[in-house]
Amino acid sequence: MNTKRIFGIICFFVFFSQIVFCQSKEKVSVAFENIGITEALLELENISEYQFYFNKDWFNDLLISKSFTNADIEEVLSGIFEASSINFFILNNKVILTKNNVIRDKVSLNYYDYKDDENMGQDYKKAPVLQKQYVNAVKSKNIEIFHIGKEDAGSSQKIFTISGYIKDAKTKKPIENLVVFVQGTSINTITNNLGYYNIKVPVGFSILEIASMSYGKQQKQIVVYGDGILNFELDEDIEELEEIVIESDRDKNIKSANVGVTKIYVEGIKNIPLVLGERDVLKVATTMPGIKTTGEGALGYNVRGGKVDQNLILFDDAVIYNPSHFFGIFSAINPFATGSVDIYKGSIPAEFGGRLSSVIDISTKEANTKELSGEGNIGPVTGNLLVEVPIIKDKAAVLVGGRATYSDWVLKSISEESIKNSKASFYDAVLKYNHKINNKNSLQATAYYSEDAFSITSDSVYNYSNRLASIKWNHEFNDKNMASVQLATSQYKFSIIYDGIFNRNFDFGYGINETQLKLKARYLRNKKHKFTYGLSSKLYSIKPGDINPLGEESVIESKSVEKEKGLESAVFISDLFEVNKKLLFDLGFRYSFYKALGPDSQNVYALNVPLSSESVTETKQYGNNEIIKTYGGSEFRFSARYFLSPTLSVKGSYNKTIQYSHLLSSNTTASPVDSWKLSDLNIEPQRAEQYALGAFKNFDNGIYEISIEGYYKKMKNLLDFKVGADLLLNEDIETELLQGEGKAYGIEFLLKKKKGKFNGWLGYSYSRTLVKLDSEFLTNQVNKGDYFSANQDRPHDVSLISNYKLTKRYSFSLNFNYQSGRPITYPVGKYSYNGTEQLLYSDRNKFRVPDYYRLDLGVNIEGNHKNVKLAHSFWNISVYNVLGRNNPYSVFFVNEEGEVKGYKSSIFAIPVPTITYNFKF
Amino acid sequence: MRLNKNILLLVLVINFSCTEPFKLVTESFEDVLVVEATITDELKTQKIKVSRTYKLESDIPVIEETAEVKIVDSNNNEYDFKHEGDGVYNSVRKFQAVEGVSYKLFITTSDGKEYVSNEELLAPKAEMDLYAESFNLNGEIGAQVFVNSYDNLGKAKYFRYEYEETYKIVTPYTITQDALATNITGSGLSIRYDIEFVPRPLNRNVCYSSNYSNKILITNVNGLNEDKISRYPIRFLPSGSHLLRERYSILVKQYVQSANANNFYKILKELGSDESLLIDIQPGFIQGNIFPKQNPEEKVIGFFDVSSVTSKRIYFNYADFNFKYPGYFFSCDLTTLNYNAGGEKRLALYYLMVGIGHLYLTGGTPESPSLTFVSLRCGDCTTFSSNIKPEFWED
Repeated sequence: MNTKRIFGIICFFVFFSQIVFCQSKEKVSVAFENIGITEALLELENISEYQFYFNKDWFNDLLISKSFTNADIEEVLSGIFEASSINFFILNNKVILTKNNVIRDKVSLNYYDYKDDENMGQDYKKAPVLQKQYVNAVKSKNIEIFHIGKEDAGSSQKIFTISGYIKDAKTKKPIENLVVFVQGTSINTITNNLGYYNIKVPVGFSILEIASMSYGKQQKQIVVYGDGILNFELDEDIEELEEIVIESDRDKNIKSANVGVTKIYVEGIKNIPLVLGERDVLKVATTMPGIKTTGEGALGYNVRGGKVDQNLILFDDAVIYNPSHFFGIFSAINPFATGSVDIYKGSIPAEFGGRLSSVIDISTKEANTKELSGEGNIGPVTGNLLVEVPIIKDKAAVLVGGRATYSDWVLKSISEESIKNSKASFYDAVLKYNHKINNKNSLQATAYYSEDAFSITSDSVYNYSNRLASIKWNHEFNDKNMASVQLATSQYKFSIIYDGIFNRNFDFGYGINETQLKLKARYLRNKKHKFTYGLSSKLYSIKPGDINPLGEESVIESKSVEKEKGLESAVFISDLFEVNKKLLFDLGFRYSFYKALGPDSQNVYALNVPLSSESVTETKQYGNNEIIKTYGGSEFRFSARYFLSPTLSVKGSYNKTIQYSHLLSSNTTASPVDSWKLSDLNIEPQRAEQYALGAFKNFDNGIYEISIEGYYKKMKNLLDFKVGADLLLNEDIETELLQGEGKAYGIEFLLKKKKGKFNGWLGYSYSRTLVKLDSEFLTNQVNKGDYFSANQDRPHDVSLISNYKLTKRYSFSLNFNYQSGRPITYPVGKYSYNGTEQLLYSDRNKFRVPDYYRLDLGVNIEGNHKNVKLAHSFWNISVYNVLGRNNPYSVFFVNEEGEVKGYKSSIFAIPVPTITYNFKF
Repeated sequence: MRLNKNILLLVLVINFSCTEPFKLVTESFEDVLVVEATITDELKTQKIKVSRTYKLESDIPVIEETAEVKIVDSNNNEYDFKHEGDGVYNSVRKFQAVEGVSYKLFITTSDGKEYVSNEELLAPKAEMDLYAESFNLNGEIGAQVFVNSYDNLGKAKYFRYEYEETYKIVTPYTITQDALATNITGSGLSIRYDIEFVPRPLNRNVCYSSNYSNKILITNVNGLNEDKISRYPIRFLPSGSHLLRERYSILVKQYVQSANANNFYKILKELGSDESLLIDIQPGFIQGNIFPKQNPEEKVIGFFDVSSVTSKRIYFNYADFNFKYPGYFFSCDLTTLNYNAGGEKRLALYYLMVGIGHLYLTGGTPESPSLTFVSLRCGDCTTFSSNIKPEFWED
């Protein structure tokens, strides 16, 4: 081509002070039929006097079909460049084409006065786009510049919309939940599940920054002239993987109105040393302030002083009743299938309800629709494999994952009779299907199953299983309205098989089922108001217990406790109300109502006497779906954020929650064979109110985050039981029940370094949880009706999670954890009774086990990823409890041959070394 | 049980867990009155035990010696009790609980504090059967003692058992003479002495020992498909048990008790039998049916129970189940020492003088100047048992 026409884009067209317009306008008649722009321009050169100066690389393969009759050259050129970002400038008979920017013939009037207008906000610079704004940036950073949009000389618009899709360069999968923000501003957005983003960017030069745990921090320099599209692909930043990044959403901590929210990405936690090499997102969560367990072998999580049954644990929208394997030593969530976990411990969004303390929202990752991929690991206890298979390229894919222990065959291979028949095994499997039907509709379905079997004594076998399924359809009506329909069902079952040597062998089974339909819609009314609203309804069905004799000799009678049924429904609405740049409100309201439904029979008790089998005055019978009792209430969820400075915010919240289903436990820690019970005539729902206040500060461009939060929580109708209460197969549980009050308060401190060779976090919390079980009847009092420490009350808690990246292949990590010992009820004397020694116990939880501390070390060795290999792999070597601290988990007393003996037990009393091999393809 | 569980965990987590005993130390002590009171429908001297809690480090129960104890029935009959020793109060006259009458226990301690029980009624009567059979308990063969009740228990639902086992001991050696060292002269290697034989007291080779149940044995008929107790296991004796060597007898007492009494014993039992490393029952105070009159917040431990009692005794030994003849309680190795030889002479003297738990068995003639000794317990069972034959004993 003609070299003289090549026009470098580095040319400056800043000011054309002496520009003379061509007065004698020539009229042109021409017709283009599916030809390229270059050809069209050459054609125009042929038929007119105009000469065009341009870079042919600007035009891509765009074909045009247009015809003009007696048209001005401006008209013709406008037509040709309609769909592209080319501007043109006509100087006599020369036509200079420019990409993006406009060549101006006079200085824009408002160029000089923009300084007077600073209060419009620094974020939005004014037109025109001047190259000096970015030329220095270009020189200093050897990064490509993207020119976006088409400048319109007549427009004074200062903000344009850039949108596009962000995909993984290797897998071509859309990258979801990626935070895109404009450097140096508070403008940001998040990609949706299709990797689509949409961001308002000021005209001119900006740097778009993308931050994520797996893609690291990446920048795109852009010069914005108008609305436009910027699609790009990101390379997974394997080097960056060593960083432990939690809450990748930069500045989200200071920006959102929510107090007490923790987000964890599974990919970011791979080299935190964990016991027996199981990557466990919920374990990592417990290193954050406010989220605790009662001990190493304790089931469930205590969030801000709540009990373990007060967390709504969602796995792709379906409730998971027991997220633990083997007494909480392992989590039941497959780490490879998990994308992220959001934990709401303070402000709970109005769409969630039914549990008192928190929402733990676990999302599986999007299955890869581009190509077959997978991940696996081999650890000392389990093997784990996950495969993603595209079904319809770029649209639909399935993810299949499974994990299982090897321990069962280890046990079986032991010749010792009593062990041979023991069991300790678990497995879990997940199946997910995601389908992007079109830009407006997407569908996702998840199924999950987990099962545990173990025996504590040689004559009994315990089994428990979770079964979940959910399906969700997302629909976007328009830019402002979108909705989703979710149907989720969950089941939790356990069984106890007692196969002893005498004639009382039995098989006991328990099961709870729930199915929820939820409609949720969003209405983004304007910048100030964004609404979320919807309704949900959940049907519970519980089989509280079936017992059957085992074996012909057994004298146990078959028995089945009446089923329970209940319907829990709610409507919710919330408004994210941005009063001004500094003040943001999240105003949520939920109204929930619960109906206990028949068929059932319920006892009515005499007033003013303790509930017992003797005080039953009437047993009421209810027919199928007859309403036994209705409970309900308003649940306000308010939170607010105020910016004291661009990097410092204060937040406050008020939250109210109601819980209609309860875990029945007469143990100090929950067990997998504790059963759930619905509120009924005699069991009132639990209620809580929480006030929280926090300050959030970011330093050094968000490398450091620091926060301090305080909360005060009041709880009502907490369930507890009389000492020695029998809960299984008990049809009159209310006679054993003590419903009381609780209060929890605490202060939580968190310092995080998110980036760099050395990263990690340090958390500290001081928190107390107190319970009061008072009654006018002595038999229903605990500790004389005074407040006492709850089982989960562990005032001091320090967690340090740190990681040091030595080279690209080696990284080291160190965890340290210190916690006050958990409260216990300790003997204060003994006595002789029935010829045997017995213990007199102190007031409940008057003493504590010794403090807990633990140090873990780990090394992560990446496989060499310079060579092209089938799979990327890494080794993880870790030692849990390096100091070998014998942290007592529990203290208990056993009567042996008429004498009382004290024992203390610890779960991991010695250093536990582990090697795991992980691979990815 | 506990062992199995640990081995199981051992295999699962390669024994990273650890359960170890520790010595109980009293952090703070609560002094509480303890009342053990079960009166029965037997016409006898009824017994009530009144004691106090004691420190965890201590092995000596603290008894309440100077309390006033009485029972008043709904017909206003008063039954006074008198301290007999060890905290046990006996009724001044024999009496029995009868149906349709309610009973109430009153205790006034020496410091003037008064305690009253709830009114309790006599629980229904239920007959029982007792038998033993050869049984395989988790791989171990032995004699298992079972209880059966009769059909149609009626209102009797909750049962508590106590047993007293008695076994006969016959020493492997019958020793009629003791050897004594006399005329001791010299010292060191030149020591000299004579041996003199004297008769030993008789009846030292047949004894009877008794043990009492030290476990809470309770059961009930709730949740059973039959209205009786069948094959409730009371006591297991491994086939090699020394107790089966001669003759063994077990007396089982069946107390029919109220639901509340059953609940009290059930919790007592549960708190003392924590079988699981990972599940801990919430311990706490077990409320009985005895309450303080003055300070309602004061704790009182114990349950006043009016029970009907049935008891049965059976006898058996190893031969009834074709077990091998069990060994003696102690090993009975013989030591032979020559009292003329230098070193052994002194040792023999030592045996003769101090005894060190050994008895002269044989020897000591001029032709064979040796003495054979055996452990004291192998020839004299009164050292660890009693040679008084119990009144009930049937050979």
